[in-house]
Amino acid sequence: MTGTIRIFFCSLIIVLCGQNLHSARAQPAPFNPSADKVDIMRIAVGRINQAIEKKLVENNLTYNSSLNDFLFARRVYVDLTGTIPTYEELVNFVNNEDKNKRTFLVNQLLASEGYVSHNYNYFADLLRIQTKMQDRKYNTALFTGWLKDSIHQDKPYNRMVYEMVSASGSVLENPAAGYLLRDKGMKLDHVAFMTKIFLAKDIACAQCHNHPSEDWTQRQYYAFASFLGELEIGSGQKQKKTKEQKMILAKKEKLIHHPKFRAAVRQKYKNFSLASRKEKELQQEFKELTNGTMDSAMDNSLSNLPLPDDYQYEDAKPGDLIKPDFIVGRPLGGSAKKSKREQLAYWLAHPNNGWFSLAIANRMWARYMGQGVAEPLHNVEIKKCSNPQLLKTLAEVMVALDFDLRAFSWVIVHTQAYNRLASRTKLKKEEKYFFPGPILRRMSAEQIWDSLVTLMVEDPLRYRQPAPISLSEVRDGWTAFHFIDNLTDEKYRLVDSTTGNLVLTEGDDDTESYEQSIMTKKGKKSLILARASELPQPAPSGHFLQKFGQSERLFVVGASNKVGSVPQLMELMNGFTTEVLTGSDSLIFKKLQRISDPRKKAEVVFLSILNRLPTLDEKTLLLEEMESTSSDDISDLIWALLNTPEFFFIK
Amino acid sequence: MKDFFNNSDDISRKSFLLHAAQSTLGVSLAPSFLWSADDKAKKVAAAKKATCERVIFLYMKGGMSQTDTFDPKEKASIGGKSKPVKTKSPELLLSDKLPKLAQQAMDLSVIRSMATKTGAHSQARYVMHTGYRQRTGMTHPQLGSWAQMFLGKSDPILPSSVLIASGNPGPGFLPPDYSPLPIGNALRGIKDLLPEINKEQLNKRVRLAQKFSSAFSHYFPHDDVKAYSDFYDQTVKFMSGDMAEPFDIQKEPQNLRSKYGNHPFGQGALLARRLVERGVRYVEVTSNKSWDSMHRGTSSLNGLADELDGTVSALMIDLRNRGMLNSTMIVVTTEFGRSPKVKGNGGRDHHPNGFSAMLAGGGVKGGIAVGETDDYGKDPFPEYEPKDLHATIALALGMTGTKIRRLPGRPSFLGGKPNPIKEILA
Repeated sequence: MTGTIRIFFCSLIIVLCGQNLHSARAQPAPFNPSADKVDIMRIAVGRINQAIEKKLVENNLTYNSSLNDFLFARRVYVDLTGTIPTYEELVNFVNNEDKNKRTFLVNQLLASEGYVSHNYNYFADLLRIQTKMQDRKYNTALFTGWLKDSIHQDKPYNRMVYEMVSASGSVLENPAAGYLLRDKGMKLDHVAFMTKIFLAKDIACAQCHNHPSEDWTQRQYYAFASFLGELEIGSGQKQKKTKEQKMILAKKEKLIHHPKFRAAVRQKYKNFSLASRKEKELQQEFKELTNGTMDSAMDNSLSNLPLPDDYQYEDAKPGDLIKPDFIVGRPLGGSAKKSKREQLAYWLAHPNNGWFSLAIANRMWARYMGQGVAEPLHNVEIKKCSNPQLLKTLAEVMVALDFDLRAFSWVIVHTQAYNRLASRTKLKKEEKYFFPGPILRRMSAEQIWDSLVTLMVEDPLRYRQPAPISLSEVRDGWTAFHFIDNLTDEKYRLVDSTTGNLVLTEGDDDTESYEQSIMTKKGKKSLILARASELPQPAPSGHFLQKFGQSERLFVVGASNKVGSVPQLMELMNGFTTEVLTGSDSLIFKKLQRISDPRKKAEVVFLSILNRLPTLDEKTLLLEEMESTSSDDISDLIWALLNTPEFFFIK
Repeated sequence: MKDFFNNSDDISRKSFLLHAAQSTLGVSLAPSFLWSADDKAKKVAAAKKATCERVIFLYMKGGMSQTDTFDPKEKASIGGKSKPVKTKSPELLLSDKLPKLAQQAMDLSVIRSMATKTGAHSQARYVMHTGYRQRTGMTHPQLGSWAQMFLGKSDPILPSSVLIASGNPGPGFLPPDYSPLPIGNALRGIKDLLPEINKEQLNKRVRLAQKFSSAFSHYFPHDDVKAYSDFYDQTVKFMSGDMAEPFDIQKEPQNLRSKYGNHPFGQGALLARRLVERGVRYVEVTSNKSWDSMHRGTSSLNGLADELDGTVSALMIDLRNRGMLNSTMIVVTTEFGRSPKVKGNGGRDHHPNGFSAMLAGGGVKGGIAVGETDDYGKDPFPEYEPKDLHATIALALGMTGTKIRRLPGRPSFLGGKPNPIKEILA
């Protein structure tokens, strides 16, 4: 594997029967900040270092030990791309003599497909995305496609939030609307999630009553929720389409009667009568879905959000309408915006909204350092945190970098604190932490899974879910077919991103219909060898990801976990994943076949799994324990290294 | 969370169990070092207020007929094949189909005015297990999981709740640590949960892994790392079958096993007694026979009544003999009752409005009936819903109102306003 830099050519979509949809494997935007931005980034690193060192000195502490190349490489690969490096990637890095290699590696990883996959998982978790929520009225794939694209294109975070909160229409017209559509029928809960994610304020209790020990009253809750008072989510709404929109839609509708549409149907459904039937069905679906049967998020100026009937306080009466008011901070202009919802989106995403920038800066810090400057992440109290100056600095840096999360990640990864070994012991409850290094943390379920996929297949991101086609991309019969097919076929599918061919459809039992490298089966056990971002989310019950704590995507707080458990360890010790990895067909075995020296074999296993060389003691141990290097012994060694905590903790 | 209900018809299927247990198992078999100061403190605090330490929840599936059991009626057209008879308690009449329980009447009481707003089996079953109506997108926790939430783990090693031949919503929205351990078949204990392993290979690999872990563990004497090491040890023990003993009813004397009844319900109740004796707080056992067969007539009634009568009385006697009856609450309940008026074929239909539950031990006042239905088995008064029953059990366990914390964003325990049936507690 030559690492993540490849050259791909965008192929033209050739209009032929049987051509493939996703022949282009587009590279994410390179990480190439302007000279000015680089200056800002370097200054930011300095300021952060200063803020931390001040506290370290005050508390008579020093930074933890620094990282050697092995530790550094493992850390940045896991933190930036969500997987451990391969043997080749690690060795190339370690052997590189360039003194700037660490920065070069970081730049390279920030521009990788792994970065997109990993960050997608992060936001999917935060936004509680469930890919199984497919139904004819709401299609998650269009929303997740938009999210992946936004990360891919390096869209500024505040822009992304603005687009989500202000989105109108169905996911067909505006995929970002998926954010609101997910919480259809739970508007008040949605508000509570929103403030936790974007403002680091937990006002959930105030939904039902004033809370004595918190600052929020129920009236304030409703005042803030009133920004969404006009929002209506439903289908069959009279969306006022402009003349131009109607014309465009009429043109697209014609395409479903085009011969290429029929040809594409026949290609999928080989049986003639089935294909004829499907053709009519899809044409019908196309008309219905584009003409308003999908759920839309729309603002209706006649709608509102009154106080509930059992409102019990003196400051208002049940059924009262409360004037919209921001729950924290101050107004920032934008009152000229047409709807209340747009005003809210504008205010949220505004660079001067201190809480907004603080919330994301603190969350990002926690991603790389294992813990926020202020905890909990969903409800920050600045005066309680261990280093208010650091928190303030991070928020300012976020704004200075225009909410560019890649640049922000670059900054964190270049701080002194990040470039240190993790702290050796666990913090006591309520103990303040001054960041002499990151805290020791377990990899997330997705990171562990993705690392195992890296150990099992050559190209972990080769197999991906097909990217949905949006309505605006429909320009001929063939794209019209794929547009409606993706919308209506609710089966889980995987394509080979290098050829565009469909390689797996949910429910495939026929062993010839998929390649050995994307799915492996033994009797009733099976494994799809794709990264977590390409699997259904949340993963099905009993899946490795679920056992290792992937969130069920119902809540924001405490949803994913890194708790150990016996079922988890039983999976690691005895599960099918481990069986595949320790079997002689696995990628690691194939790599070892080319090596004859037994000591070198063991070294390769160490470098592949633990991303380091064995110590002297371990080398002695290897000589004692492994008389030969029969494949049994290698299996045992692979097993042993996978089953040490060192594998899934980030040092 | 996973819905255990889906498989309750064929619970002994090995693959379901293995999977379900694996998804709930070991977090409940947590190592002793995770038995935190927090848990101990909760346990002490609860002990002060609690009249009972453990609960055996016996679920008579299919809709137990109250007229034929705990709420017998005189009128022949209502009473059908059953009639009320005197018991050891002067205040309590039970159906003549429950002679053994009649002998135990001084230590048990019945609630006759239970009502649930649904006559559909799975909805009513859900309400009886969680106190809540089913809501899309979320599952509520079963009672044993709530108890663990507020009272801490009942034992450092054993799970705090166990389900025997039972489907129930499990931990719901509580974290996996609160899962009950599901056991399909009392006779097999946890044998079905053990994966097939090559013991020699496993031991060799574990030894190797331990040797390669020592440098890391040494450098990072970190609680989370220690926790993982402990989990490994537990997992290996578990996989080697070392934890099977408390779950092994073959170790009970044969004559005692016969007294409980040589059928899955009897053996399940025996296993429940064995487990609560060893520290499990909450065990649910589901009846083997289904009361739903009473739709078709009375042919099944004797068998159903015997299963109930024989097993529950044996359990009460056994607990009493061990000095455990005062601190162990037995709950006998069902999803709804059966229609008072007997049908042409002698059978009875669903009857959600006016059915019965039985409580014994664990601080329950014995020998009384709480609430009533009229001579026709209708108009339950005062109406008690499943959540009121839960509140009663919770009160006895020491889960008092002011200590019930809200989990952010989730429904609270019993809607935050528990209404225990105080008359039934001593």
